[in-house]
Amino acid sequence: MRDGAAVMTHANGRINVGDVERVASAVAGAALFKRGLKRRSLGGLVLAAAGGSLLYRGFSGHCGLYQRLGRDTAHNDPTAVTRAITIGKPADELYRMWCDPQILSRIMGHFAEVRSIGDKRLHWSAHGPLDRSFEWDAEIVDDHPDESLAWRSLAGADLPNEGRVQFTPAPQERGTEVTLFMRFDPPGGALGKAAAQVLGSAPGLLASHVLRRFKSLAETGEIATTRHNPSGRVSAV
Amino acid sequence: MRALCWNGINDLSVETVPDPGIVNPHDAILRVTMSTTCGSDLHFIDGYIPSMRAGDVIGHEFMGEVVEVGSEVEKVGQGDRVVVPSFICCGHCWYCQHDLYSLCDNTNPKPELQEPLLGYPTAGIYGYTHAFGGYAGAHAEYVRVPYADTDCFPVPDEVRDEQALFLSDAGPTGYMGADFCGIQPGDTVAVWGCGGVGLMAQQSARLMGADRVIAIDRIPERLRLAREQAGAETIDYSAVDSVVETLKDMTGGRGPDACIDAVGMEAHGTGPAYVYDRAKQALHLHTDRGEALREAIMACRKGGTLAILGVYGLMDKFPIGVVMNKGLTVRTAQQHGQKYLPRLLEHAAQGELDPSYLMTHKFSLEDAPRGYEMFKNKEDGCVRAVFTP
Repeated sequence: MRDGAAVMTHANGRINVGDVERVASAVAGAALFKRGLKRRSLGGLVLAAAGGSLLYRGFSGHCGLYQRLGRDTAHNDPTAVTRAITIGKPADELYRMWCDPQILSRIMGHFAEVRSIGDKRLHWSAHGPLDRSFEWDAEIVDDHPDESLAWRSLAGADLPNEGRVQFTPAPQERGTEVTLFMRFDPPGGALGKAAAQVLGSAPGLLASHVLRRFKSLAETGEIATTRHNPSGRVSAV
Repeated sequence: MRALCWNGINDLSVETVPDPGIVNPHDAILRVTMSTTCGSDLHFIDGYIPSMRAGDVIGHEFMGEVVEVGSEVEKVGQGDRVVVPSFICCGHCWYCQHDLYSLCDNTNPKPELQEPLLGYPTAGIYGYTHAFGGYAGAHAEYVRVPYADTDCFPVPDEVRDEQALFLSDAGPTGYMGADFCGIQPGDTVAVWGCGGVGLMAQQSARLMGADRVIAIDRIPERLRLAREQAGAETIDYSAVDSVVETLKDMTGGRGPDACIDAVGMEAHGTGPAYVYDRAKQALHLHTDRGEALREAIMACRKGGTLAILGVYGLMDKFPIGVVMNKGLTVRTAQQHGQKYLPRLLEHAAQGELDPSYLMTHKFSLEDAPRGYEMFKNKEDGCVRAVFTP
């Protein structure tokens, strides 16, 4: 977690304005303040007062209006999601597959690439908008072979997160119930917004996608695709 | 290659598009020999089924010759003449293994488009909206067939191309409908619709031992085909006061033992319910015109079976109370073609089932838009328009 996101207690309340917005607020406030004083009139005083409060908002990071509206552009809420799928393969086979970083990379699809960086450690590279990437290292924190696996990102992660996958036998010959839990703590401000975009508007969708791709790969050896699909459109898909 | 593309509501044109290629190891590439129109195509051509995109290649009922196979394909090879069911199925998931092929878990790469409506994704289809996977269709020179070992069925030498063609969709759908009826000796089966699927359902019901088959439609050429090809008795619904009463009279007051709906969401009808349906459709308040289905529910004998083959979206005004109080069994699905194709090809090879009469009109692929127009308007006795690239 970035230290800058530490909560500052203040007479009026905590930081609820994002970084970029704070700078913009301060710059606009200073300009208004200056303009208002120059006018030397009642109207000018009002302008200066408005400028002053914007300046204050920029420096303190707190906005009374936002507080009343329940808005907070400084912090993006953590998102946690759980999804399950049943795969017609035994738990030990699925556990082995999940431990393989190449397979993890494949099932993550467009979301991220994964590679091993040593014993029980993986490096993740997630793709954000405007070609920015989110990088982090993660380590396995809990490992019950053939039953469950839990991991957590290490300090310095662009997108702090933790996750857990569980393998439980399904009834009769249906195979294994695979349950995936993921939790992301996007950093505050604009960086966090971009991170939130990486996760997509529905993080549950990401979890579902990952599980479906894992199931397809496990059951059929490939993942359904419409890459290179012929169409009358110019784009590739 | 040349292909028929959907570019908007009722806007079809033949364009030059990239050739398909092997993408996954179980793929095969087919050179399409023939492909045909199907009534369910009209639902997205007309805009009732969403998630089409301008430029989509359409066509889901076809047969052809294998020209290339992926590295993991074992059962078919270059030069094989094959027929392929419209639904793309992996063969390995629980659903495929239980012969519920159109419910395949693994062949829709866009499950998020179906899950909000259906709760779960179903199998992908060739050329039939992005909700069903967005796969390029087969009104084209070539088509990519995923999971070729599961989905390519070699055609016996005795079966001609135009016989095999209709076993891609109309044949297995109709056959499945008859199978759903659980036909017993002495049974009367009533079938709404004398299009490709309806006629196949009627013929299949005969094959499965139905004592009588009664076909309902209003197009004279189609009613004639029902009589000639399926040995069906026919009812022209535009010429009788009540189809339900007519069916009762024909069955000693009991009603048919099983009813098959091979009409679907664009049913034509008369009366206030139909007017209501059309009004709501025009306002996009609901997608379906349920005349045929409601009639089948009313007509079926108590404790009978209703097999729903017609494609629907969302319907209100569905008489579930009638279904419940009459103790009807409702069986329905999109076609599980991979289950039925082996025996259908066997029937065809033995000369017991010949669907080639469905090919009433043949066009070059270049004239496909005209073919769809003719098919849609039922001009010149058109039952199915077949395209050859």
